Amino acid sequence: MAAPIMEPQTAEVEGITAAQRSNARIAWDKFRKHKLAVASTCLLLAIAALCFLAPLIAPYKFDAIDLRNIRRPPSARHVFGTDGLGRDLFTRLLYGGRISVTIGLSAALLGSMLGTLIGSAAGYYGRGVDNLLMRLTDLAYSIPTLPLIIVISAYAGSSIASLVAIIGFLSWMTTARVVRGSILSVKENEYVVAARALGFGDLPIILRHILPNIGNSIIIGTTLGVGNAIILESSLSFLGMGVNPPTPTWGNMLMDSQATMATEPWLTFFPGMAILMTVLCVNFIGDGLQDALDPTL
Amino acid sequence: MGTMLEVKDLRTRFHTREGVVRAVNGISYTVDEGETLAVVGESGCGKSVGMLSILQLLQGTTGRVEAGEALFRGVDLLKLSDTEIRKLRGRDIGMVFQDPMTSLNPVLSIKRQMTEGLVKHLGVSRREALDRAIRLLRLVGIPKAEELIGEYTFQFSGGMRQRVMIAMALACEPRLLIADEPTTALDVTIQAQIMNLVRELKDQFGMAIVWITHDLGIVANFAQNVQVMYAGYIVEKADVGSLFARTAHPYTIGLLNSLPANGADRRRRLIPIKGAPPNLRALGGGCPFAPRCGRAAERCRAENPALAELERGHQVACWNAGEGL
Repeated sequence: MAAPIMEPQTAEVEGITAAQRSNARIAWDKFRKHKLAVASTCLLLAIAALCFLAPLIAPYKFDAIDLRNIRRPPSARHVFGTDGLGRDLFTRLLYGGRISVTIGLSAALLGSMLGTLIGSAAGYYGRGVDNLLMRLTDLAYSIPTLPLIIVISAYAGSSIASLVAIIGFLSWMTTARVVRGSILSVKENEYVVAARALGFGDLPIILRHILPNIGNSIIIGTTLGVGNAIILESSLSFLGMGVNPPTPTWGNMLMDSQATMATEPWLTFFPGMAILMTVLCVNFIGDGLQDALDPTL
Repeated sequence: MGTMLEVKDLRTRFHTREGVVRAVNGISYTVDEGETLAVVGESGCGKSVGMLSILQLLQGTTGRVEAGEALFRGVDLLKLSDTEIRKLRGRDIGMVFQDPMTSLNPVLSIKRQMTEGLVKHLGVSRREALDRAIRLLRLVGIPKAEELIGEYTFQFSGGMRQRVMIAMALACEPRLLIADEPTTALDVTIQAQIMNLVRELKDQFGMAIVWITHDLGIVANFAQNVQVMYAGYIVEKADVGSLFARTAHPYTIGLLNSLPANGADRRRRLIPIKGAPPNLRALGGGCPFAPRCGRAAERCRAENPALAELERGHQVACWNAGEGL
């Protein structure tokens, strides 16, 4: 094709080179400024590394019973003490973390995906579809989660997969509402009409033109969902409906400790702190991501 | 030259909660191969809706095309299925939108936005699409196109973005380019550049252009034919020469009088058109312009005039048109 038709203005060219940073780069710079989020990321990575490397790190086997050393307070041999069967609490905490974190991440991902799917369809197609899906969301919202999960898990059994599925299928509503709301505003943008004028169909437009614009709310929703899912899993295990002993999770460790909470507080303290720290970290990361990914801040 | 687009009696309405908005009320026009047609009128008079209607781009709004045909090279666009019209959009008919700040996706790189369409419509490889996109950007005057194509739109100024929009619309060498007030959001100097650019590209690609604008001033040396729209009706259409020489409709006269003159009579006061365009939910039976028209008579309030030939190639919808100014 022919040479440029017009001489470009130099001012414009300079403007571009000055701002030569990609979106990802800008987001990373903003995220780094959020100290709490950066610290949380490091801590969470450390927790995850410890948990998933548990077989290498843990000083004992998670189900090694030592009846001569039951309910020992923290000491040099057992840094977090031992439980009612003389099992090393630190070891069980590491192994338990694997399950709690896995369930937390997978259930949150599943919930977000479902929520994104339902929210996108509702927001993009509007009208009847919107009405139907949002009433469904309201319905799902109105059901008290914990009793329902207890009932379902009583039937579905308590494998990790079924827990992930149950928690995931019951935690998509918030994401669905957020995604729907964002799509409602994003789809009014001229670039959506422009994309249609270029001949694109619904699916490519939703996937490539709309969802990237609301990626931040989805990511943030997912991180917040991780915390919720970990807490739900813990609650279930605490109530005895979660993963079966002797496999440890943070929740069933808490449950085991409830009878002796007054006399052996470390049995409650450490699993409780593990849950608290992990959920807090995830929430702070979500907070940091929100700041980093929101272009208006 | 042959007729490329023939719109017949197009009617579009929006069914809102507050009532039925009669946005386009039976407009008919043709666009020939290589012609530049300007569609002029105030905001909200149905110019854009008319264009969006024929491309079936009103889907997702409350807008419905109620009647009419839009024959593009003999095919009625309004009867095409979703899949069929998608193949046409962007390939045979390109569209440039009003606001370059909002018509490009802020989270996708220019490369991504430009090559997508090429890959889809022309079936070329990503590599070829990228080469072509870079050449197109050079063509519309983007410097260092091969570097800047990887950038995001927020790093571009308004004029640059509109150039990108034009490059995207031209990517598949459409036969018809619909430009919906493409210079309205730009500085006057940039406006002139963009118009020159489009004119040069038109010669090079040999396409027809429908240029929607509210500014009669920029029409004069740009378009061959003009049609003036008011309240969803075409009230006057003519070739540029006779429109300016023998302006017939009071609304067109009003539009011209509200433009600052650049010649001898530059001290002339601007005469605005009094009042506001009518509520399209409550159009009566009379001429829609009658409430604002200085010459409105009894008949104007009762009966809406149809387009009638004033002279060869010059039509006007006004009861008083034949009576001179």
